[in-house]
Amino acid sequence: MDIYEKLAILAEAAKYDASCSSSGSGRSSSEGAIGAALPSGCCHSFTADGRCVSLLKVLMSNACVYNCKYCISRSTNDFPRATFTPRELADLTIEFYRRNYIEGLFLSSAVVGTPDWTMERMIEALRILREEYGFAGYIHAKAIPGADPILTHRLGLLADRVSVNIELPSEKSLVSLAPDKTKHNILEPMGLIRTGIEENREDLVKYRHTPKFVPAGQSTQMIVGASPETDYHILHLTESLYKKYGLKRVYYSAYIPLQEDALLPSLDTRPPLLREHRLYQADWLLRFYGFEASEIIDPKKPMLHPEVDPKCSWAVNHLDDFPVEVNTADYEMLLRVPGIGVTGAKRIIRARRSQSLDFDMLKRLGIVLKRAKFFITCKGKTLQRIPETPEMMIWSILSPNRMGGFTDYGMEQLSLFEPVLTGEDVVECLTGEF
Amino acid sequence: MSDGGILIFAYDGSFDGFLSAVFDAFAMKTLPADFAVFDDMEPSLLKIHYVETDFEHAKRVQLGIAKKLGGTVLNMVQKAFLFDGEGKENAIMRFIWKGFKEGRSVGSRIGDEDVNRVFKMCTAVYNEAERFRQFTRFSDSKGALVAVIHPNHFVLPLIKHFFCARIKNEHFMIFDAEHSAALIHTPERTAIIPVESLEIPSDTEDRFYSGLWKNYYRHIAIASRYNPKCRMTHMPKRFWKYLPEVEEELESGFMQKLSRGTAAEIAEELKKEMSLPEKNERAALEQ
Repeated sequence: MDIYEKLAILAEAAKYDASCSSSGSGRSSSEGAIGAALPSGCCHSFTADGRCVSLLKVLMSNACVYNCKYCISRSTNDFPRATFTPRELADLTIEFYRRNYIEGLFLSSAVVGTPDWTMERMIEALRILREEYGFAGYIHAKAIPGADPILTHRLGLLADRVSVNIELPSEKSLVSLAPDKTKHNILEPMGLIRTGIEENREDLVKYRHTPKFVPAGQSTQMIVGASPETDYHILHLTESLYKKYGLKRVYYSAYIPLQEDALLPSLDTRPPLLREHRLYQADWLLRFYGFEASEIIDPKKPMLHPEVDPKCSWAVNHLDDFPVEVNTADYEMLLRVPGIGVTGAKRIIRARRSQSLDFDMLKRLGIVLKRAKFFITCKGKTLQRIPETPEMMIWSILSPNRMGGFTDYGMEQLSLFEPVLTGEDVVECLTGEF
Repeated sequence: MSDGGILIFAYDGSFDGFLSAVFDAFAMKTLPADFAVFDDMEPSLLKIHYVETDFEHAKRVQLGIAKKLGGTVLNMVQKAFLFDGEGKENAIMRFIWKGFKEGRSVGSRIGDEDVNRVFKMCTAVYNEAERFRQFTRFSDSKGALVAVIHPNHFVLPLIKHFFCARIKNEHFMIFDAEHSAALIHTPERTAIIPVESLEIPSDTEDRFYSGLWKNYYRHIAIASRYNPKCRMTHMPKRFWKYLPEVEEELESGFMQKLSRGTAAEIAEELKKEMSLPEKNERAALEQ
């Protein structure tokens, strides 16, 4: 089998992994002969489905001995199998990297033979890259659950980021859908990496030449929609992974049915893309906006609102905290205003340092007032009448063309929890689940 | 000099030339109404002051800005000068003028109209530089890496570090066809030099890896998540001409074909399209 065919098979098998980021590391070019990693990462292409391509994302092999029901590479599947040699993979990475196609490599693998054997081959590929080619670009590697802790550690010394996929957000689903994996199996390497990172941080302070261990931190992925867990469950799990395991990122992957199985959603189920999108929005609130999971979601309504993004949804239910005065509100509060993001809040803080802001200035700063105007004042003035109840607020936000003119007409049908569809985008990705 | 009439400053188009113009404006205590570059000046009845590029003056202005107005302002001036568009010099001139009149707070007053104009120019330049870090593609021509770009703004100084850091041991060149300049790098030396035109060796020599890359790109798309709008937002069409991975789509007008049709039809169409060019490419590879 030639490299062309191998690449096709092993890229195809790796594409369902959502993670793509190349950020958070910052290796300087002096560390090697080729490559550097920017702290901010860089996306070099976008697939036809709009996902970023930052790394060469492939499997080392798809010849799996496991039989996870949701997975396309399951052992009982009749499917072309391929395995890269470590050198083939290293060469391919370097050649793509030189041409500025990629930022580095994302290497995962099916379990070939034993977890240890699989990890050894992955480590050999990374070793060639780092040691023989002096590659200082970004490497994300998957730790294989069940492998020897020494191998996991060795992997961590070569990679920028290591991840272990949780895949199914509860032990029950794991048992029924991925019988060869266990909760312990997954959490063990995660804990090892966390400890490794902590120790490395101390060593880096003490000794100048300590090799870096997983400098970009670890991440994980959960499949959304294959099993019955709610958004409430998923977001709380996410939060505890950030807090307990110090994870850098949690990725969500809308379940795409590839396998026929009585335990799984049927093959004609469309991937719950809107749900995935809302989860990512909520995840951003956790990581960058200072929200707690309990603020975003309520056990009584365990699914995120499909129509309104989670931040807006929070704001609408906390109208007492609004409107905020942009000239005096602190950064954390500005971030909670629907329509103001991290860039916008930072610009406001910078601009108001030496003059007080009015609405024209906000527009000049690139703040989109479409939604923000319902939640802010400038020098004590609002841009327009502010709706008083959550229902009226939702109505105003969802129908921007009727700005301010929230008449009584149609008001009864509208409430927060019985969404009315607006905007063709929403309709396009609605899955019928909601 | 300020004895009435509209005054135009003519300079050589270089950054030092512009700083010399700033020096002259302060010396003459006059804000020019507009700027012109020697090379593309048209005959005019307006009064023209010809700025002589004086490195000493330029240095003094630069130091003055850094000292009196701070690093942020100097950085904005430098970045905004890479902007390519009408009224660039005028906007920066007014910004500096305002700075010396009102103090270093101009660096943060980005809501102010004069400051905001320069701020937006910086943002435009910065954003475009990011796009070219993402979407510049090299092809290997006898061991040297070559890329051609057509940016709106003069982004080469901003992307220089990015490429020099990562492929420092390579010989490479990025030719900016819009601004007739090239970033040339060898392991010993890096320079941005004026280059009028360039014979680019055709892409065919590098078919093997660009072919593999196309092959990879085709296989990572997930048909059931097809979302052309999202891709277009992140990867605007004007960059496609650099990207081997979308070459066929660009040629076949595939996108237009797909813009109508149900999700199922699109997925089917996508599958077909994804497997089609493979044969031709393989044939090319085996030759």
